[in-house]
Amino acid sequence: MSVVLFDLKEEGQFGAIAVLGLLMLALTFVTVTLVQAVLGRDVLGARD
Amino acid sequence: MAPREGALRGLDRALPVWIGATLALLVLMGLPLGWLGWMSVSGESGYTLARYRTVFGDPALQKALWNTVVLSFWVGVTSVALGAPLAWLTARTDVPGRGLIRGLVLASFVTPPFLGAFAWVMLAGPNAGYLNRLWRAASGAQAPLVNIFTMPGLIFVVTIYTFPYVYIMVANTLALIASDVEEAGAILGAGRLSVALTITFPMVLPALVSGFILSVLQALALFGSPAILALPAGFHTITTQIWSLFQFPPKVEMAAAFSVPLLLATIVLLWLQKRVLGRRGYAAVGGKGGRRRVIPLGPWRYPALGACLVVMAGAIFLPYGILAKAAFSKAWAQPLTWDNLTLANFTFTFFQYSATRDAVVNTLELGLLTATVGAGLVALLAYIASRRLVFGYQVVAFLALVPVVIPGVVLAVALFIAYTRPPFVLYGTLWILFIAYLTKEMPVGYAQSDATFRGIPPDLEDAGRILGAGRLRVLSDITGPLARSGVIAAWCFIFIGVIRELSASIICSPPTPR
Repeated sequence: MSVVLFDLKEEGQFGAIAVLGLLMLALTFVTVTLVQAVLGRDVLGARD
Repeated sequence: MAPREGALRGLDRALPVWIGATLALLVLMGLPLGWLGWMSVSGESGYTLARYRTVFGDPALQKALWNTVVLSFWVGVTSVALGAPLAWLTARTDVPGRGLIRGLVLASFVTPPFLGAFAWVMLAGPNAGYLNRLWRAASGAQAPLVNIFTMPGLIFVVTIYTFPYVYIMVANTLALIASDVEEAGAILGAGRLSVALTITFPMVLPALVSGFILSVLQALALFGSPAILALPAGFHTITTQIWSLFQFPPKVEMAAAFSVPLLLATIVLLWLQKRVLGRRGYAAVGGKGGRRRVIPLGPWRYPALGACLVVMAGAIFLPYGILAKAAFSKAWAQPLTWDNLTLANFTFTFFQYSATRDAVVNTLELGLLTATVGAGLVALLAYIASRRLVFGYQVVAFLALVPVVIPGVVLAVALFIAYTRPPFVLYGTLWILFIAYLTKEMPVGYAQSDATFRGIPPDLEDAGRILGAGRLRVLSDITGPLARSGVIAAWCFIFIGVIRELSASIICSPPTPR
C-alpha cells in the first residue's frame, strides 16, 4: 500500500491517497485496540 | 539396537525444532548483512575502500550528510521541547483531559509519518495548501503563510510524529518517581523552582537524554517524510540519497557503501543511549512504591490544556481532518460544501485503479502471513533463549534484536542485495517482501515474546517434564496457553509494522504496473 501511495502522489491523486491513508489508519487503530485489549494496558506503556 | 535406542532416548526430540528455528534466524540476519558488508568493499581485484572514498568525497553526498545532521539534531531538540512538557502535564498535574491527551499522543505514535507528510503537503503546500488558501483569502496576501517544502517544514513534520518517544520515556519515568523526594526538598526549605531544578530535573535527565537520542535516531533513519518533502524542495538526506542510488542506472555497491556509515552511526547512538540509561537508572528505582502528588495548576489548567491541543492539532486534528476532507471531496483544496461532497474517490481507489486493489490485497496477505509466521518464529526463538535450549542462546537473542539498530533503508538495501542473486533469487515475487518484513519486524515481536516467556516461571514446565512429557508437548500444552496473550500481541505488533512499512517495500518491490 505504501508503494502505491507514492505512485499516487506522483500522479497527483490526493483523493485516492486520502482514501488509502484512512484505510491504513483504520487497520492500524483496530489492531492497536486489539493489542491493548489483549495486554490490558496501553501501547505507550508497553513500548517504553 | 538396544544401546542405540538408549542413546536416542537421552536426546531431546525437540532439538531439531530448536536448531531449525535458530538456523532460520541465522540465515535471515546473516545473509543480508553479510552481503551488505561484502558489496561495500568488494572490487574487481579483491577488497577496496574506493567506494567509501567516493561516498565521503562527493560534495552532493556530503551535503546530504549535513542535511541529515541538521534534520536529526533539530528533530531531537524540538521533540524534547514538545514531549517533555506534555509528559509532565499528563503525569504530574491536574490538567483536564489527561486521558484524552495520552490517547492523542498514542494516535500520533502509531500514525505512519509518511501519511502525516502527505497530509501536510495538502495543508501547507505553498500553492494549493489548504491553510495557505485560507490565509490568502483572509489577508489578501499573495505569498504563502507557510511552505512545508523546506528544511523547517520537514523538521516540523518529522517532530510531530517523533515527540511521542520523548513523551513515553519522560512520562513513564515521572510515574516512577514518588513525590516524597520532592516534598522532602520542599520541607528543607527549597522553593518550587529549586525543587524542580535540583530534584525532579536530574531524575528525569536520563529519560530526556535517552528520548533525545531516540528522536535523533528516528530522524536519521526516516525515509518517507524526506522523500515527500525534501525531494520536491531540491535537497537530499542520507536515506533519500541511498534511495536515489537505486534509480536507473542502479548503483547498488555505492548504496551499500553509503549504508554502512549510517548503520555505524545508529549503533553508536544506541550504545550511547544504553549507557545513559544504564548509568543513571536510579530514577526508575527511586520511588516506585511511593505516592505521587498531583500538582494543581490553578488558573493555568485550561491554558495548559490549550497548549496540549495546539500540539495535537499539528499531529492529529489537522492532518486527519484534511485526509478525511480529501477522501470525501471532489476538489480537496475547495471548501467542503454539499456540491463538493462525493464518494468517487472510494470508487476510483477500490474499483477503477487496479494497482490500489492489488496493493490492498497484497498488503493484507503479506501482513497476515508475516505476522503469523513471524509470531510463531519469535515465540520459538524467545522460548529457546529464555530456557537456554541451545548452545549460544545469547546469540539467538542478539540476532533477533539486530534489526533494531539497522535503519529501514539500510536493511532494505541489504535485503535487496541478498535476494536478487543466488542462492535466493526472490526479486519480482511477493516472497522478497515477506522475507524483508519478517526480518525487519522481528525485534518488536521478539521483545514482546521474550517478555512473555520470562514472565512464565519454568516450574510448571518442569512438573510436566517430570511426569514424562517432552519439551514440545510441554510447550504446546502448558507454556503455549499461558503465553497466548503475549503471542497475540506480538502478532499484532508485526501486523502493524507490515501494513505501514515503506522503505523495504519501495526498494524491494518491482515498479508498480498501471
